[in-house]
Amino acid sequence: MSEENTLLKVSNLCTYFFTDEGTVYALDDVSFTLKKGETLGIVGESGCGKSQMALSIMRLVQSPPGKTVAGSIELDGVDILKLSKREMKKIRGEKVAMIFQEPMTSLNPVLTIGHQITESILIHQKTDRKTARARAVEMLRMVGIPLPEKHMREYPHQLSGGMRQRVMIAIALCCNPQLLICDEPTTALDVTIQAQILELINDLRRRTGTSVIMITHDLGVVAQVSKNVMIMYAGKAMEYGTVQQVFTDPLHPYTKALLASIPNAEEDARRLHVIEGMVPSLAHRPDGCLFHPRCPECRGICRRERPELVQLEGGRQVRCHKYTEAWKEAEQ
Amino acid sequence: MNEPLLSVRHVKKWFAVRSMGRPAGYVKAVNDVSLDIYSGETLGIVGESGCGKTTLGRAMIRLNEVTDGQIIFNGQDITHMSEKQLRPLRKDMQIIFQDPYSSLNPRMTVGDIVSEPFRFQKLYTPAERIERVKELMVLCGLDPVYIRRYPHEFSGGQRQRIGIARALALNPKFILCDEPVSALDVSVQSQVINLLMDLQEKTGVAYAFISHNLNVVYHMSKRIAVMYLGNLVELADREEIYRHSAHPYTMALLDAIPKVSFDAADTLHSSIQGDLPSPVDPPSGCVFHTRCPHACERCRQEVPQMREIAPGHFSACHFAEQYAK
Amino acid sequence: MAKHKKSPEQVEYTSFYHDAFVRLKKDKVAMVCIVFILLLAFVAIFASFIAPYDQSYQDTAHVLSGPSAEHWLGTDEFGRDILSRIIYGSRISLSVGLVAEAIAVTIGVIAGAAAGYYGGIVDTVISRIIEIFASFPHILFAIVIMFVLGTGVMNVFIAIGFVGWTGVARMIRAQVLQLKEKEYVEAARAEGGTDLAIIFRHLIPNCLSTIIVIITMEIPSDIMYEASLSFLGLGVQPPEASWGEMISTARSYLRTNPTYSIFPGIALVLTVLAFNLVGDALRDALDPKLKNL
Repeated sequence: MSEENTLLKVSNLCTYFFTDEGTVYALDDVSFTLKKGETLGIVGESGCGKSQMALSIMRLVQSPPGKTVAGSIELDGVDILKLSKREMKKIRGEKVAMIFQEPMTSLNPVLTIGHQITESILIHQKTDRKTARARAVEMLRMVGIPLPEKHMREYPHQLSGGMRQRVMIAIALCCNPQLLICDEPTTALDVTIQAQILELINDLRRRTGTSVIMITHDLGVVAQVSKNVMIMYAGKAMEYGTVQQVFTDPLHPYTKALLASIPNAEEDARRLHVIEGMVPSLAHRPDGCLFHPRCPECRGICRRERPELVQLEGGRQVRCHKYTEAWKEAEQ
Repeated sequence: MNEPLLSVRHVKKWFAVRSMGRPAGYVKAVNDVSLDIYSGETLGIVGESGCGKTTLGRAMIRLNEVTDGQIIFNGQDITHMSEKQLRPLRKDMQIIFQDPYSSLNPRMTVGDIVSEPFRFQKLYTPAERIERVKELMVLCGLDPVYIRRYPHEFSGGQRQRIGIARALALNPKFILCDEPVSALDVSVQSQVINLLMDLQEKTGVAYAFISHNLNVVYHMSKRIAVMYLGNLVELADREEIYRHSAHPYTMALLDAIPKVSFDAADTLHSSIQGDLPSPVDPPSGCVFHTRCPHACERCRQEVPQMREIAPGHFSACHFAEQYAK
Repeated sequence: MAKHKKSPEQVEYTSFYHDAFVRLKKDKVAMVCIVFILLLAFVAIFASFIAPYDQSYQDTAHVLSGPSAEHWLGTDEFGRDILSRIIYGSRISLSVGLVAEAIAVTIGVIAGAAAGYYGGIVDTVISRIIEIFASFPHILFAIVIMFVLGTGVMNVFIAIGFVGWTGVARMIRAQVLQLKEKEYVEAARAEGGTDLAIIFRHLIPNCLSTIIVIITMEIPSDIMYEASLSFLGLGVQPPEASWGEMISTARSYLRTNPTYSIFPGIALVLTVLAFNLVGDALRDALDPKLKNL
């Protein structure tokens, strides 16, 4: 029954970069499923491969040196990794759309907003310019831009950061995509504007039934917009579950440490919890568990063996030896 | 009450805007701001981009000239001192930057970077300088064997430590921290925050901690100043700001922080709408009235004055007293 | 902290110039050119040992002869060995490249850095001077200077150096304008650094890669200017050999002995080409944008 509702099924996805310094394991054996109308949050620090995840699904990984070497990405039952370039172009924009952190780099500074939205509608839909324009105005109104007719004639630099991000969302949604990938959509924005944009994305998802992948480093953002969350570390998924599960009862030591290291006005600790060390280079990964050099609960097995993803009840997944049978036996 | 270490009195910083080569008005980056910082304390300054917090910070340590007002450091009026007169005072006021990449000269080794303040202030012999640098590196959690390495060989967090070591080199009384953790990852951010707090305990340095992240500022500071569009809107102890904020902008800011909690079914709501107005042409009356959910006719016309509504709690809202209750 | 400090694999130990050199080594053409330039420098330094004849020795038995066993590249109108004169001429060409460029870079870097850093009236004055210089053809300017100073090798250096600084100044000014916004410059000011200290410790060292590229790109044009001045009879005076002077004299004997003009021409073209190609390769190797790929 859940199969029918599945929009996106990513299985064992591996994207590597083959550079002079060696192979960079940007994404290593990542799997997840996303149902229609749901939001998945992907959280991680810089260099954990979360942006490459978005680019891999869009098949926009810079190549060379990058290449998706293994795995499958099934969108509505079709493995998009097997599609031709032309078919993929059709998928992008029509079925999957993406918005980025810095809207200014994705908008053309010498064309008006209206022109850019109208163009992207015309590329994907067989309509005349007039209907496309009308649709563009409608889209701008939908994303909460006041006086859309006036803003149609304006250039990107005349808008504020929040407004530009709204325009980007309008462009992304103009062809009713089934999946919207947001790569750090609010990182460049102020908190009050961030709240507006997140609210908008949530609202649009509810109205249009679009599935959303929200990629961010901000645990708070994920907590507010997603149903499920995947914690990534050094190119691997470390923990997966509903937001409620993961944030109230984190299982993986990394997730625990991450949650504890956020300054929080509610809990008044004098010192913040610290994760020692830093994110390993993806070209020179440690042996065993990728997190073991920084893990407070590290043991012998963690240094030797890469942990597999452990399936737990309630659909939760965690990549840690602690939850395996072997560990529990050793415990006794 | 003892004397403040740094006193900012009615400081204004206006930038002339030219359009077509003719003066077309002023950006009021900082507009009549007054605040005090006492020895050994941390004053947090929060606000969104363009609120003037960075300009104000730079003015505090005279990296910017001010248009009007007074800056008094350690009892001396430094507002109009020449660079030469300022040089000896510079020992006591330092700065830590946001960007761990552009704040370190890529052509200099860690040793050169951290010892540069000694060179400029003509302190110590070369051998003593190296010893001092090594001490500072240890103090900031860096291994002194890396003294000859270049900045690009370090990670963002380590580079930020180098910047902190440089700021501490002269044993300053005051350090301006301009978004020192905004460019860092969450896990590294907490390392740097802890380091800054430990150093304050050890050396008794005072911080002005500028950030857009209210949570970080709350954690770091004793008192918090909230800025909006070049104006100071609220200033109080951190607990007061959090529990009894008396300005609608502060409340909106607190509301907008994404929280990792599940008290309400849907916690997400943006309580203020619209964008920041242009600082070239700020709104009449209260600068926040265009976005304020409680704005009334009085707010549109009358500029609210900063006033003490409770001991040590200042707010610039016409209805601050009502909120305080 | 203890953990990451002790894992050296996480702290890469490479210097910027080392990286650039690694990239440069991959460029085969550039490496060939560098070898050629080094060879040329060797020849120029040891010209008196390498050259089969002295540059002014006149073999009156063979005047304007073509290539032969005794004179590999033939002789000129006085019976002087062309190969030997080309070898001696390389001294002039290379030293023009070095000395004139050194003069140009010194003036250019100081003027450019001052204009960029101080801005305002200083910038206006220096920029206007640069524009005045740039509005005349460089060679015309050099000719005027040569008329004033008189002929001679040293004066050629001065003339060429004096017209060549504007390009350097313009590029350094643009770069300093960018660099002075960097936070480390602000940090230096906060530490009490003087303007001079900031310019010489922070700004100019960070312009170094630009300066290296400019030098390699400008040397060939300096060599051409010297050749042009000598061709016009304003530069190096006979009997001293210079490639430009040789080509100039050979013009009259194009029919009787074409090789006379061809060989110095080839030497000139190869040298200029080698410097240009190395300059191109250096620009690619030092370009920070490519570094991140």
